[in-house]
Amino acid sequence: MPWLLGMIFGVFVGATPGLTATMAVALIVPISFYLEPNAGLALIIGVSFTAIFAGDIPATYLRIPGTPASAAATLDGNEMAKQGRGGLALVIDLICSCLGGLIGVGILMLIARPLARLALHFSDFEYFWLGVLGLSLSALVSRGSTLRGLIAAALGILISTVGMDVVSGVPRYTWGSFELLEGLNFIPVMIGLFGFAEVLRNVTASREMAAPANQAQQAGTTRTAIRQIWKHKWLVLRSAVLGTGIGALPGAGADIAAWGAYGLAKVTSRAPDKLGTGSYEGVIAPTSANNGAVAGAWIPALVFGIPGDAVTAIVLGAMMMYNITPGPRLFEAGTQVQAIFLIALITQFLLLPAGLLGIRAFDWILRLPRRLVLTAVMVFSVVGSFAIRNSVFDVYVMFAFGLIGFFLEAKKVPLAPVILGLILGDLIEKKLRAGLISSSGDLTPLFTRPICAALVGLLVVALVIVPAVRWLRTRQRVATPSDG
Amino acid sequence: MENRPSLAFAGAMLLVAATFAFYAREIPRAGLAGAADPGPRALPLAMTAVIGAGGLIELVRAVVARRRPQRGTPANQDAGEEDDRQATGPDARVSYMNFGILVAATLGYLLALSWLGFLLSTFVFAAAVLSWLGARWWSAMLSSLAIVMVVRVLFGGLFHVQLPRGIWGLDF
Repeated sequence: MPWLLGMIFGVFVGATPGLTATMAVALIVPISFYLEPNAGLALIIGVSFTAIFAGDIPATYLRIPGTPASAAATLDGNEMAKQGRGGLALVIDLICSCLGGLIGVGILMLIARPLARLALHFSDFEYFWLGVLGLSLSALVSRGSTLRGLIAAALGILISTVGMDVVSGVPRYTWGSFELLEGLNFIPVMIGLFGFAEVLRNVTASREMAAPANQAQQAGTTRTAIRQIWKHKWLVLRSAVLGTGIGALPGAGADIAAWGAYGLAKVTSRAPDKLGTGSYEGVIAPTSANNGAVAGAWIPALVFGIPGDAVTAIVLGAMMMYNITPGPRLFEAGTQVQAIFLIALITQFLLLPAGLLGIRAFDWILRLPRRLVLTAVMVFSVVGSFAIRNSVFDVYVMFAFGLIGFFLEAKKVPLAPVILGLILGDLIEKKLRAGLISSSGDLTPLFTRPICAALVGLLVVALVIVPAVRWLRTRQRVATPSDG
Repeated sequence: MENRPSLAFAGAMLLVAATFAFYAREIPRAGLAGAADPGPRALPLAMTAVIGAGGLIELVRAVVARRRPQRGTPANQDAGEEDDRQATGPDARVSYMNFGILVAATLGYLLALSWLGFLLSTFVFAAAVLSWLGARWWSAMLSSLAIVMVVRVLFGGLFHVQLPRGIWGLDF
């Protein structure tokens, strides 16, 4: 019972803009100590999986990602909602989240040790290239101009440099502000770019505001969802495997997994132009990947005691409180690991009823007048930004980035690379500088280490192929005017 | 359609690059480990260079597109003309006015948040925005009260977020 209640709590927190999955887990940990170790762990694991899915609900309906991992769901999920297919998008999302989680847990059970060992062999240079590759892919595959995608990524990285330098502690672009010393918090920036900017866009539309299309699930929605998922079963598998692999790399969490899977879906799709316009593939790929990544993050956490992301870091802390020490010895004992695997598996099945409840609750919210929803979104954006650090300054950050997001969107600049640049900027800089310091400034290993060379090769291929395919398509359209 | 160059975007990016490059002077060049560390200034400067170069390319494309003769179809209109077309007319005026009103109202709300407190400032802001968006006065009042109550219970009661109380210490 506490397990299911915890999952409903996860849906609730994850679906509330500004409250992250990390926050949900952090809030539930003190409660879990009143339970038996396995029941407590079930509560925590349940919350972490549901909060990631629940973040997709406001991302789909309101274009406000409930968690950073849901930012990719704002693309096609929200487009489907605009077309009145929000209910269908979320049922697909929910089933894919369960499947992604199941596949992720399956991989966790099968190859936990070898994969975690591989991740441990990554030096700073490999992490640097992984970050550059992830960022470049997001800039290259985003809709519209490649140049603007790259500018957006650079803007994101530039924003990430605000605050104390990660290596030397020197303040950068703080202009004497104490609040800026800590850097710009990711959540208010994200709420501003995706939430406040969207309200501005809605309100400034000079036409009469249309009532939201009925998003409620129609009869046969589940059947359609299952049919579409079956049709794209290999995409589900591919995205979940990719998500699990990315989640297993410390520092690369569900957000990067979702974007990576979205990029991969765009590259492998037969109709890549449809991604971003409300396509099933655009919903299936990131949602299968982000829950896969949650499972993947458990691989290094359980085998080596290295948290893959902030959520697993909190969970590891909680496990220590239960006198459970993650590491190879945990696998020698056996029973505790099996219990964790079983909990993670059952959680995927419990996610279905908990998720459906969350979707239903949001269906009801959407029947409210549009002006009320917009006003409530504005207030929630303000309070959500404030709640992160109890700081009015963060609310101003949200406001400023709302204006920036509005301008960038008006100029058809993709927002996703800005967000990813902000997330990865820190990692890219830290890893490159730490790597160079450890190699005494020698750049050779940056290119000659085997995994580095492979990542550079992938990057070069992406940088050449994606613009070339775009150029060919443009030429094709010019050559056949009937298409345009 | 989406690749049309824009003078406004190019100008904004050049301005961002110039501003951040200018203030990068205040960041020390040297890192922790001498020549091995590129230092804290390297990445910001590299990014301003990318943004500046991108802005410059966008500017050149926008200028070339403006000079190119119109081909007659709306799809071939350049961004400058498109922007100009959108920047005039009654629709654009309504749009700019709505934007200005909402931004000013939100800014006023944020400024009032610290001294009026969350409850009062949110109630006034929500009621004002709802009325402006066409709700009847009593509906606007009731709805804004409901929003304030939901947020107060959710964030204040359940998650124990210390919402700003203002100079009067208002907290139900």
